[in-house]
Amino acid sequence: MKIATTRFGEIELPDESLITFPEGIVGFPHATGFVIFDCGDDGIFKWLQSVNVPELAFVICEATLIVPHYQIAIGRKEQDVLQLENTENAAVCLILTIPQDPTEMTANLVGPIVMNAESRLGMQLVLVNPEYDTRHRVFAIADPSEGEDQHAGA
Amino acid sequence: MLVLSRRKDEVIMIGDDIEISIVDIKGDTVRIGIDAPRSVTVHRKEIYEAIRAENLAHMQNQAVPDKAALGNLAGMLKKKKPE
Repeated sequence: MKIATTRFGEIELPDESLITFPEGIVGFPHATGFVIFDCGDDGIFKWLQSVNVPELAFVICEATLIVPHYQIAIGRKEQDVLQLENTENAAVCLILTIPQDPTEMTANLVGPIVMNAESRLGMQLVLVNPEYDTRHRVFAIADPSEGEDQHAGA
Repeated sequence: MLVLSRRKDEVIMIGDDIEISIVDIKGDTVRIGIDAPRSVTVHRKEIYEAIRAENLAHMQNQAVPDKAALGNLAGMLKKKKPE
């Protein structure tokens, strides 16, 4: 499968790496196919690249790395879309924005990406949680080295 | 746009299978109950719009971060994680 991208030129990945987002993602209902590949060498950050929209690619990482107690409610409708029998098997990732000064990285806690590795289906959730925002500062300004900062930047 | 007046506990039906009920009215806040099939997605518009704007901004602005910066970030995240 050859994929045209604006950031990486044309890339080639095995067909089975395709992840289908039946509803697209928020604002991009036609972006229904994505692939994931490494962003950096640490295996922590990944690119979620659209196969339909060359310029549409997100830096993502596992949600609990950003907010250790990150919690989302996966409803029946989401379970249906993802063909997910057990919600514990869902992979929950956050979209990260990494600016020029990487320590100012933010995470979108309101619109997580949820995927079912088995069915290779994914979707973006729209959460209702007043504690979460779309630009959560990942590293607290005064104290970048310590503990949970779930409420920092809120 | 169709505009209707409804009192508390009154219901609006949309098609055969979507019911919107007025659960409570207090000051300028209306609590609304929505009964819809699972296939219908219901969102608060301002949250949906915020995510849409964020997705769009990411598409337009997110450059490919350099590897050294990502390495530093990975280190900072590992330190940040409790346990």
